[in-house]
Amino acid sequence: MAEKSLPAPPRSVGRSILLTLPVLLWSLLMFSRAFQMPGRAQQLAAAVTLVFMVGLFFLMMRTRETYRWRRWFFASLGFLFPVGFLWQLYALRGSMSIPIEKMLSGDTPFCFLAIPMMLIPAALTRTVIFPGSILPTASNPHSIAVMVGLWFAATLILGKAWCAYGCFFGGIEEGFAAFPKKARIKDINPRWRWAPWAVLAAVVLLAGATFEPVYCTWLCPFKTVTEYAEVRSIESAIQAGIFLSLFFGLVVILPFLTKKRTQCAFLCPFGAFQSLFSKIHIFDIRIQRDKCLDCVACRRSCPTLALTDESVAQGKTLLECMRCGACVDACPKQAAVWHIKGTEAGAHPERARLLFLYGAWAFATMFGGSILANSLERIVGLVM
Amino acid sequence: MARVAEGLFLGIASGPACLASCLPAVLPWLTTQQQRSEGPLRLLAPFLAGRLAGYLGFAALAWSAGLLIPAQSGTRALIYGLAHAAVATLLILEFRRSRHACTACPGCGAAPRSTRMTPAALGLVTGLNLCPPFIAAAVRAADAGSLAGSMLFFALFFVGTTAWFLPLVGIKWLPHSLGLLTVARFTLLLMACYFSYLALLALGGLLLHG
Repeated sequence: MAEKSLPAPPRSVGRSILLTLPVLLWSLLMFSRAFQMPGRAQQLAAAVTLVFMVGLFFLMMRTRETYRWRRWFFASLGFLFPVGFLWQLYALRGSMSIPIEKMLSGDTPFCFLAIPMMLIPAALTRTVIFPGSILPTASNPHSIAVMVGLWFAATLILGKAWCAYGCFFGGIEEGFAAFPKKARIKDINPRWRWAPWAVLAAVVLLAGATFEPVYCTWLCPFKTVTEYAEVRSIESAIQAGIFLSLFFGLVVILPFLTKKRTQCAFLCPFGAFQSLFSKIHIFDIRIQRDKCLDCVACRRSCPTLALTDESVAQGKTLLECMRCGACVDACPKQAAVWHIKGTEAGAHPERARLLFLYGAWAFATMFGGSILANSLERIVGLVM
Repeated sequence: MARVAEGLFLGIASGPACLASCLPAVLPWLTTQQQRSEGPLRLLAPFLAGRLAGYLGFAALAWSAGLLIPAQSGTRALIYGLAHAAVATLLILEFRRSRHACTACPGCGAAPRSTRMTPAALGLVTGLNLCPPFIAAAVRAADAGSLAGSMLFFALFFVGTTAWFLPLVGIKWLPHSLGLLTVARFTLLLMACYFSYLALLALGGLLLHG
């Protein structure tokens, strides 16, 4: 993505190690429990994950680049999450599909994508419209309370950056977008960036009218790699067809052709919902107009169309910016910089980046790292 | 008197359900129109008038046919299917009509004005939504001693539910932007798909199973 970038000189190894030390300590704390377990597979998976996460952070410090290294973590998370999740599903019920009886008994693992649809019914009637259980149970540890709590904590720390450091679904498209060297489709009408907001409006309104998590029932492409309602009728067959089409269209083929996260940019209502928290998040990206060449390398590199010609002219990213750092890495003049709101743009960009990354990477290690370790453990267990 | 008051209170009590079932069709349309210069009540009035006409028409039908309409599943499916097909058609027409946004002033993006008939028709067909409170009202109206009594019952049911629609005038004070219009237009299209699906389900089921 960063074809024209002239990277800043690398930081010294010693200084990079020093800056990585807090992340190393945090990671040791996170994975210490796994090292005390008797299983060799679990220990090995935890060790590999620890080295991977700390190593990537070290490279971020050393090279001063964010997107390039974050992408390795994120794509790994995207591709490995289904492994661990499906393994668990097969262990519990022997199938990817969830029978209606299991749904009615509240055994559906909760997914954060349902959160925006739950708000109106919950506020008006104190009804939770997701067929899961509020508190964790033996058969369903992914309860609503746990996942909403996690999302809330993540939103406080990351805001919209959840989409770049937490959302395992986004990792799948980012992985497919990373394969080709060049984008085949380059001109995308910026008007499409409004589509997720429309999907958000539609699913929230319909959830209020039908008391059903409409997006999960009809539009979620990730049902293809997680779980879906058992196909028992023409309606559920149509739903399965929609899931498959959206998955292969928006998560596999279009990211490959455009080098963008097309599902996030054109469909995901949760991403649009999460964008609302951009206003209260203290970190953002600014374009320093006095340095900018108007080469639009930043706009072209943005995976979610969060930069337009107008926003670049104003020196800002749009609400949809997920702080992935692609534009900062792509800028040949270092005009795109990390920024803390309330401070002067470009005053201490590296300090702003570090402060943001400590929080984001700590969350990524805790949440994404545990998912990676869990999936790796399954794979290592198979091999051993 | 008690029956009349019952209509009003039934309307007030079931208003949130009526609002929730109408919002998916009404809100996107209203948002495409919010940038027009008319006062907010003038935007909403034709819709509410259409809704009242739908209620009164159904009251007359319910009274003349007795309990037949709400009781017969075939008739219910037919009304339901046709009403939803009409909603979908209106939403698609509105989507097409709003495709040329105003370019006279930068950032204005107001959509072309709907005809007075569009919101009235939208009110009429969304008013025929056979949701549980509406069927409860129809059963009570069918039980009324006279046609006038049945219509009065439904008129007061309408007044009760309308109280919940009035906050929609607040949409007029949303910031004017081309982005908002684009979102509203995309939403119109998605909602048209949804209502088409409902219509297809109802009418297809009727054709296949009678």
